[in-house]
Amino acid sequence: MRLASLLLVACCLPAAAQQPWLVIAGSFPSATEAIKLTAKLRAIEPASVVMSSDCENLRQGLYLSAAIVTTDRAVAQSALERAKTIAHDSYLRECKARPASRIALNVPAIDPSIERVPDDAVNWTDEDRTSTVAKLPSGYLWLRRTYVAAPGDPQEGRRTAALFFAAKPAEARQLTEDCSDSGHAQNGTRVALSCARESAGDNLFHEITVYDTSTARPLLQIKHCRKPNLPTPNQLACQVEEVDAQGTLRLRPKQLEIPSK
Amino acid sequence: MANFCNLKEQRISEVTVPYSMDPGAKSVTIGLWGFLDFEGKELQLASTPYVNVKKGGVTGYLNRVRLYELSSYHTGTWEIDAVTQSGGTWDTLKVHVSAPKDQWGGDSSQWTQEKKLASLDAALRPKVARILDILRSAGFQPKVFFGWRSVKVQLELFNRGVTKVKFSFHNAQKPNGTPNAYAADIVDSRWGWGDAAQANGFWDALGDAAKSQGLVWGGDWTTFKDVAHVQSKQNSELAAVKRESGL
Repeated sequence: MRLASLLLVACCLPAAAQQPWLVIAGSFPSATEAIKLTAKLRAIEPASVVMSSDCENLRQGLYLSAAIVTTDRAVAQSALERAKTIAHDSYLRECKARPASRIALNVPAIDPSIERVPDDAVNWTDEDRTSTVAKLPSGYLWLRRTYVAAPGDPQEGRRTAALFFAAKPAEARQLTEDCSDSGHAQNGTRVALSCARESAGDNLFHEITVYDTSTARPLLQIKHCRKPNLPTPNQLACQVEEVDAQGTLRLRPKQLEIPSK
Repeated sequence: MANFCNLKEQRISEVTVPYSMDPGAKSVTIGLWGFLDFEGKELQLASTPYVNVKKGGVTGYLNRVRLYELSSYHTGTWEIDAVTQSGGTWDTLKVHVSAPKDQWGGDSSQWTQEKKLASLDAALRPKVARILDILRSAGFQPKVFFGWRSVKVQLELFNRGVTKVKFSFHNAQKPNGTPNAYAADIVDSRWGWGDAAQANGFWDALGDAAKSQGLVWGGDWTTFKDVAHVQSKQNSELAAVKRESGL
């Protein structure tokens, strides 16, 4: 029953569809406290972190530790009683989901792997912990932020997988396993994605890959280029990056033909 | 026998030298009284690499004093021995190098090479100097682009989106705020990060030289490369270094 309710949540329902109910066990201005409480709640409920900014009617800018997210109010009410055994001031709120938001698309705002980020990690920010979804002209670009336990990793295990889906995240195709400082453009079935790949003094070097979204197959790749644009489905425009010995970044425009297949 | 002395030919056992990169800092002149051994051969000063010793003229009563100028940008206490050619030590002088008056402000990418080297951890400094030597002898024109930079500057860069980290081994400092970087970025002054650096084999040469000194080279990282970067700590030590820095 509970699982059925969860599967009903939000994904791709028309605006008039039933909105999800949240059992909110705590709300926090930063991610880490919400993640800790959510991990505790998961012992008794399918808890998750919800961004209040995904709900039009809630105070914005908060990380909500939700014991359950369900369209079934009775299920939510029942979960509320159990949640109070862990967070006694838990309460029930309806979420008026913003169109194309994470909660509307059933995309987790915080991946469960993030709970394993070491407490003394130095360079993890809330942004590194929080997944995003960007609405494209056709489909969605999902930046799924995860933690990978990799001793000695210069990124302290931070990863941002880039995925594309047309309508349902369950059908998402992974474009690349890591893509920080991303930029994108779309034209038809082509998506150009730029990802930071290298440091160059005080600058980042990017790599752009153009994908066919129907297969997630890369069609073209260019290093040291940023700001992708697809003026036509067969042309990539970007800004070539050069950094001189004084650390000065210079950009110059470049245009390439994209192979058809 | 010989002994170190001041310009009044009074014996000294220690001397204080100002931090040489402070504005207006001057070298300190000392003397070695009785600088010839029993066979008339001149004694040599066996100095740590952290103190620059420049030999001067002969002076004093009966020309018994050899002058030397001392300078250094390595804060700490070091020793200089006056040794005979057969290896005997006839006197020892303690050299206290003052802490810098300069607060290490400004754009650290614009500092002199000496100052950039001075901003490195004492154990890393000679290794980076050796890397520069190796690269020079291979025909490259290496320079330290970055040694240390302040956490404040790092945060500015982070907020501008040009770096992905708020704290790195470049930002390590002593608890009193003195720079103590465990990392340096090295480029060829002709090419920077341009394609020519790769095409001419500079990055590979830098990686080889860094590893020959037991350092970690950022070009070996597979998830996010930093080809100009060398560091003396493992990435897993970052949290400990931040704590050690008092941050």
